Amino acid sequence: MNSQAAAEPDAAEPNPAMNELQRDALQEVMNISMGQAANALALLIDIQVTLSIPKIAITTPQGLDSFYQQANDHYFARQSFMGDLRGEVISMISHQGCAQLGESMAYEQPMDENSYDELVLELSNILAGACLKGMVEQLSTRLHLSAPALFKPELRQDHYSWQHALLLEISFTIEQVAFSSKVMICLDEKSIRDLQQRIDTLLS
Amino acid sequence: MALQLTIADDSLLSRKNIRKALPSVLDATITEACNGAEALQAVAAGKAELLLLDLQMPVLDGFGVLAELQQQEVNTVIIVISADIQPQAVARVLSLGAAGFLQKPLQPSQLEQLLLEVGLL
Repeated sequence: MNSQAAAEPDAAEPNPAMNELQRDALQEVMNISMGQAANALALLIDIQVTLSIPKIAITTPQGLDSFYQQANDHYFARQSFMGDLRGEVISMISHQGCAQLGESMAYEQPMDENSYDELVLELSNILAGACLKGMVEQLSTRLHLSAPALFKPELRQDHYSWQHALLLEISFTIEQVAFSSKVMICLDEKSIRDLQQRIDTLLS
Repeated sequence: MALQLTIADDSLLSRKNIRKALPSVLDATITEACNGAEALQAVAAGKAELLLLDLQMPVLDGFGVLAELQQQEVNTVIIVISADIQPQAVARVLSLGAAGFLQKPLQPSQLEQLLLEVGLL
């Protein structure tokens, strides 16, 4: 049984670990990307967005459960991307603060369910889009990002294209309106190895 | 005499990029700091006539360093190099006495221009 598992290339390396230098470099790359994302949002709403240090972890699809458990008071949207790197980016957006953001972003008041959906898609596009764009520019990769789609975590039945993924978790908060958002970039195993190579190039 | 220069950034990659971006004509003795507290130590030890300062750092962040140095009224030229490029962050940094603000990823030409403006080149 064990020998069989070891024969599969992916099973042989179930946890593609990053060394400290790679982690440092990736964190810096994400820092810069999230700075650009926060700036894109701040310019739109004219309110300062608070940044925190991005978290990097290896995860499995089950690892996303802790986020999905917050579905009561958060919206979720996902976008897949392909190209040099493949994976998906998930945006988690608090219900709280959305009404005020909608107002700052000139959504017609009062907002109905449709306009909230539209707002969540727009916010995911701004935040996740800028995060990925920043990453792509710094790592000289090319990606095609699909349009965001809303989803309900409890209804998510689709097969994940990855078994182990690099989870890049980026948090944005706007204290003034108690808004919080996380952008989670999930990369499949092949892309993780590719990313490591690109980071090594950056470090050389 | 060589300029005493401290680079304060928690990221090794970033410190490396800043070193690479320094104009070759700049004659400097470089000290590296990994957080705000180390940056303040470097200033106290006279190793930072010029301080290139990141904002998001553990222990003490860049805003904390700026506030402390403003109180101490030390003679250090501070240039903030940050990923947080929001107008509010830039305004706060300048109000806390930084001589300039540069965004990451750092463009060597912008660093050179700013060093010329503050009279260090």
